[in-house]
Amino acid sequence: MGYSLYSRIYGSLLAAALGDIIGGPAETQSREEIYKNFHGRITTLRDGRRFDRSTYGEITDDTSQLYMMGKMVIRYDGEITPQRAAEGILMWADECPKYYPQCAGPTSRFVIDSLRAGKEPEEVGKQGLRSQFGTSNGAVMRIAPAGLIAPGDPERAIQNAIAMTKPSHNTHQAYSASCAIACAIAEALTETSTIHSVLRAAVYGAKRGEEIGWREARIAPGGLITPALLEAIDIVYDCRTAEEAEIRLDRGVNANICTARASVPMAVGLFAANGGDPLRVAFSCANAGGDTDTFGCMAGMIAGAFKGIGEIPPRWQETYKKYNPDYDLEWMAGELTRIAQRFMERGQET
Amino acid sequence: MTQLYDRILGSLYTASMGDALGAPTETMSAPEILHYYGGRVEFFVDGAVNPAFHNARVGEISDDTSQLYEMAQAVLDSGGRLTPAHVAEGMLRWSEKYPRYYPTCAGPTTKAVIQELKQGGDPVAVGKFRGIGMPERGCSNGAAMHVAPAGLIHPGDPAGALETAITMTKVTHGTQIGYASACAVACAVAQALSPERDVYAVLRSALYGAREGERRGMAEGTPAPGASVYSRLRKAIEIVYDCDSMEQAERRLDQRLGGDSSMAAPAVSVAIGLFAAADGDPIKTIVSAANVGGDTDTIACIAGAIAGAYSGFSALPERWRSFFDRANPEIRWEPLARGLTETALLMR
Repeated sequence: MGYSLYSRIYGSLLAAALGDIIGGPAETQSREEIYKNFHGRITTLRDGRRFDRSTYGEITDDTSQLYMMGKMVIRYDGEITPQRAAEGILMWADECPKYYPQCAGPTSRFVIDSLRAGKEPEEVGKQGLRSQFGTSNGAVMRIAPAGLIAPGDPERAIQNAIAMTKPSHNTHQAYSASCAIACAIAEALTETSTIHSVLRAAVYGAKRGEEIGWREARIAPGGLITPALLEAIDIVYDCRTAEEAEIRLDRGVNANICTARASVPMAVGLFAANGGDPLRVAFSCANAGGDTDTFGCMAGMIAGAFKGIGEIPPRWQETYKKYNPDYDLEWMAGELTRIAQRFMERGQET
Repeated sequence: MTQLYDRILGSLYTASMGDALGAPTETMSAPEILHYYGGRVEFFVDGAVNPAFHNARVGEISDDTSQLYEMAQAVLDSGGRLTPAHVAEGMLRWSEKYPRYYPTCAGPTTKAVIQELKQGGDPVAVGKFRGIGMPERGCSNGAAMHVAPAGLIHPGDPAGALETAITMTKVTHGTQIGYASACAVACAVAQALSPERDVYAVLRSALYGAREGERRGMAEGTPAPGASVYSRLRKAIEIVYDCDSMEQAERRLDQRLGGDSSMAAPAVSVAIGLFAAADGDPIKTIVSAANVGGDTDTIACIAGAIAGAYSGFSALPERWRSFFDRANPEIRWEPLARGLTETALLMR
């Protein structure tokens, strides 16, 4: 089968959603608790309501935020600014009562109140003086469109990712995290991408994002993304199997809170350890423990962009549509493909 | 058939072009290379300024390629079922056929091994023998530099490549370091031939070879002192992912892992690191290896064998191929590549 950008973009969106759906029920549990509570490894769709988590087959805050960001990007034809990104965040709060405010993370919750009060988006993202403010993974879980409209163009992916990250997570760690994932997606979309090239793109993004962050962003407390990401890559190379990688990544780079410093290396590491296969990646994330749905969503964005829709069994497309009729990923993929192609044509002209 | 043939031919060509490119800079440090050659060596040069140079023509091969050639011949003679006897025969043939390279270019282990084989020593016993007062014996890079054919007859099959590499290495470098370094290269070459090209998979395969080779060497060979090839290789990979450019990778790999002699662990880890840093591009890989410093011709030969298998002969620029052919009329890779391709297809 030949290369199709639409297939890659749709694959990315659907794989992100499936990672969210499959990982949702296990969120906040350790790997050991997951095995106990679900009577073994999660290998099918489960219902998380017993644990006050997501219902069978349904997306959570991750995909719904990603979707609203996608809508914003489409509305403005791919021209992303911090003001427009703030609009995307508010769209989520207004249009998704199922997920807001109960699913909002430590940063987004406060950010939305401030944005509603009409404060300047860039300043809102710089507020600190709260634990985990600006370093949690909210900006990264909705970052996919930044990379999806920039296939093979890391600089544009970085520019988009930073504009999208500013209104909520205006810190050097968050820039680094968002750019790592956006660059990985932008590279994964290309016809010539390999796991090696995607890993290198992720490291490149993490470094560039951090560098820009040191100049422009709030310097928040907490360690950097790049060393954690490099450690994850090193762990994956040292592991013989995907399951060994799952365990050692959990022990080595995971966290018990929703920090980007854990989720980026977990997502990128599990993407590589599972050969980029979207469903293997999703289940691996679901069983890894911690912020499983966000790992699944982020790793899925990359894996789906790497393999395309053809590598996701049709029955999973049906499952997604059945339980999530309000979030039309095919439509979104078509629109984002159109925008991506326009940017690519423009890039060739200049 | 044609695609596999192109990859196998590419591996042999790139390895030997790396050898010829790196021979003039062998034993020099990176700053010395810049000093003596007035800049980076980016095409075949005359090595006359280098006292360690073997007085060769511009673009001429050295011991690495000539041994690689004889090992490819040994693999063909064995029909893919290599035995220590075939390997010993190949090494002796090398010592007789190439007065330009033997004994002048032979490394510390190879020189001793050939002498003992000539005296009628049993190949496996000679390979395992370390004696006293020769710490480097069995740990230098001779096996790694000629092992590529063990990978070439096992495309996409690192486990098969590992067994053939062990048989080949038993005769010359019977230590865990010799085994691990040769197996890392052979497994990388085998994986690089696979139709789905991913540097990630090649690096994983190299690590598999280093780990299994080390284990087998400890059990079947003679344990020697020295750092684990597996750990050095992991370090190389870690360094590469942290580098922003090819030049930075070259510098850091040399400064953190490079060697000042012909030892196997530095050569193999730096070679595989450069292959990864160049994303598998064959010319970028060998040019970087020729400038990295140390045992440059061997590093370039090893890295070239992997990068050439990854990219294929057709990816090599015409300028490089024709210059190399003119400089080496006695090396004709096509018949050997055809034979290895046929053997590879039979081994499946």
